Amino acid sequence: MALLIRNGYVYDPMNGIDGEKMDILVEGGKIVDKLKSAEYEVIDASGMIVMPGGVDIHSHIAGSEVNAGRLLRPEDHAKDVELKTEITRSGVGYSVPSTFTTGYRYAKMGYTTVMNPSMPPLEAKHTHEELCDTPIIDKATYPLLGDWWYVLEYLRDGKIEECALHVAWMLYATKGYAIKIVNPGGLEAWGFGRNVRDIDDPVPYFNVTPREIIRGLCKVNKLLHLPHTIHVHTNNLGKPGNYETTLQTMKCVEDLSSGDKPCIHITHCQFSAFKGVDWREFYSGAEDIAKYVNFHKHVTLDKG
Amino acid sequence: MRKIENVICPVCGSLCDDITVYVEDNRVVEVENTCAVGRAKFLNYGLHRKPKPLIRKNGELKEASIEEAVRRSAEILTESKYPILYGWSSTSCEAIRVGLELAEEIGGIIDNTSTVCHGPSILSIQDVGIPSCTLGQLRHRADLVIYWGSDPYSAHPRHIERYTVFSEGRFQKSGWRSFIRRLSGKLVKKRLSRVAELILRRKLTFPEEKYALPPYFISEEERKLVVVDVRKTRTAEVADYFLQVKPNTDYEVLQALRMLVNDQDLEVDEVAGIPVKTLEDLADLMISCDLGILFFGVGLTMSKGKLRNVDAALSLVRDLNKRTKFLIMPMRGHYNVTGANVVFTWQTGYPYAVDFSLGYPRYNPGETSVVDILRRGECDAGLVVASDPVSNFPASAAKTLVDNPLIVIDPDVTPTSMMADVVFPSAYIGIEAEGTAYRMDHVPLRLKKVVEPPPNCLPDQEILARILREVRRIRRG
Repeated sequence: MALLIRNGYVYDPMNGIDGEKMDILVEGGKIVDKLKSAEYEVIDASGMIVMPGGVDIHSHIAGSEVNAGRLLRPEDHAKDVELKTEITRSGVGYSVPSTFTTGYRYAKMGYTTVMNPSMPPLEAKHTHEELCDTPIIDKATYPLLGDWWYVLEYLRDGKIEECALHVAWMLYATKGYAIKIVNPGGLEAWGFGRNVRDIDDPVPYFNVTPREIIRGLCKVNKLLHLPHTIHVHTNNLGKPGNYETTLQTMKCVEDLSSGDKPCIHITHCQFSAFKGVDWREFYSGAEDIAKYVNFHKHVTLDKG
Repeated sequence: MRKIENVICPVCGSLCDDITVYVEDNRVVEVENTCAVGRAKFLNYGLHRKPKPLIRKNGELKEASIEEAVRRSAEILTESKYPILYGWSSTSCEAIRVGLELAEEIGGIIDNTSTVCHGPSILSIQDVGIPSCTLGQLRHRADLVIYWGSDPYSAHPRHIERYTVFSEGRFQKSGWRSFIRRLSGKLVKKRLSRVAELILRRKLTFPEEKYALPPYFISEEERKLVVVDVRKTRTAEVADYFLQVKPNTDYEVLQALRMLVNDQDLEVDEVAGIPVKTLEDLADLMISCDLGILFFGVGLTMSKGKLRNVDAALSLVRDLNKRTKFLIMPMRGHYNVTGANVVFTWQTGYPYAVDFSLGYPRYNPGETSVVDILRRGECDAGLVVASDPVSNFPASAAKTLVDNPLIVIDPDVTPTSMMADVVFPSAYIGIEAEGTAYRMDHVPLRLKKVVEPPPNCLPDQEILARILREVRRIRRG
């Protein structure tokens, strides 16, 4: 069915349209100049904003860790409720909304796509079950592969191609979309309540460093031609002075980019851009990060 | 004969996934790798099953078609003002999802069996939090395993062998060697004393060393198993150390351990009858481990103190994490009780005892929990799925349940189904139907279908979906 969206203020950064009042015509799933068919639906958008559907590339909306948080917030849920209607399900909101409410509220905010950025492979089914119950929006999810034992072993032995084959199978088996790396090496160390200090601190019992993990998976990502780069939550997240770790993380894959194509994504960078030696002298290192990013095309980032 | 491998056992929260099933003429004839409980279920399921749905007419349950039973159930549920939907721990997550939708549609109460087992644990987790992990992490890393108020040897028979002390992990060896050494030690001691008795011609008695930790030399590199319980359970018999506590004193013992872990002095000689020296040894053992795990069972949640016991256990683990790495996990009973909590939580925000009567989910255990509602006589109809509350609830609660119109969806004939007004014999999930279930550590597993169900036995999910469709048809025209 063709569609005419009339009289809205249109925002379309890609085409340089900044709040102009205009009509949008849609036919055959595409935005067109002119409608071929005589029959079309009209939506009067007078006084409203018309924009492309929002895409959130990093929002924890589903999975075991989200549900664990949801379980812990009954008092939040009690003060923010959604009634059921003829067509929508009831739910609760605030800090960690229930799945239906998550879908409805994202849609209300103008989002059409949300990426769930971490899925422990063992919990893949759980994540997908929750995403199934998250209505309206499009969703995908990134499996956590930075501390997967097989990946660590392949990378320790320098077997990039074998690692790529394994990662391809993992993406297939977990129905994942991109490679997520959280605190590379640190998650494995956390199994014993430890952590890694910086990107050259070897992972206990595995003899592989975070640098090797990041570089290895970056190469794997390139071999597999995945649509998204590696999605990295840096080491030392949330610690004063960690902007240096972030700079090192971005630098360590500098030579792996080809042309202008990015090869690493630093996520929720606001927590990885701290200067100072402790919380008393803590201040922002965002300037140094911004300088680096502005002069290098292999990095993308989100502030989080 | 058909051989089906890697079948998941739908009995307890361990969800062992290495079962081999042999099927002949649509019947399970042999199983491998199961415990006695799993074996009994696979080989004897459905022995007493009714072939068709039943509807009570003039006081007697009469056979009926599925359509009739669905219509009658939908009538009961639409006529009811405040129905309860209970059970959900021995069925698939897919069925639970439909159940939640049905509860929302009819504005009822939905509750799962954790209300009478680990409900208090959940309340404490909401208060204190929980450092959790998967069982695989423990298999590979844990060097100290404590079972407190739970007897896995009887209730989760393969738990120790698959996930904890007797499993061979990447970083931790299996503890069976030290177990064999201890066993042979005991045997040698017994024989020597028998020889001595024969020589001395009199009966020898040895004072029983009740509260003393064995010296740590057992084997430094092997993991250790500690059992805390009110009686010497079968798990206690294989443990490196067994601490017997008096019934209803768990709270005091846990709090005393917390003080010791926090370097505070206990200014008494004993706590709840246990010498402080013993508790100090146990606290030392806990602090000095690399990775410890505390499994707790209904012994904590349903004895005096209930959620406060669990609160103390969680707090103890929190304190221990200042000194080493320590984790804690409830030993869940039914194979999908964890799944029931998980699905309830993602759809409604709350793990159990969810009230939809106002058109949105509400949660206040004690007010919205099924046993309390039944005892107050507030509900006017019931739907029970894969559970037997008539056998397990307090008599006054069970009475309200059976006095009201009652629908039961259960593969088995139970006291509850015998007192119901509509009964659906359903397919066994994990044997006759597929479905997702969550292991006690929240790992989802896909249960397999190994044989065909009888013609009139649909999976729970399908029965519920039909009831929901019929309810919507009646309500919305």
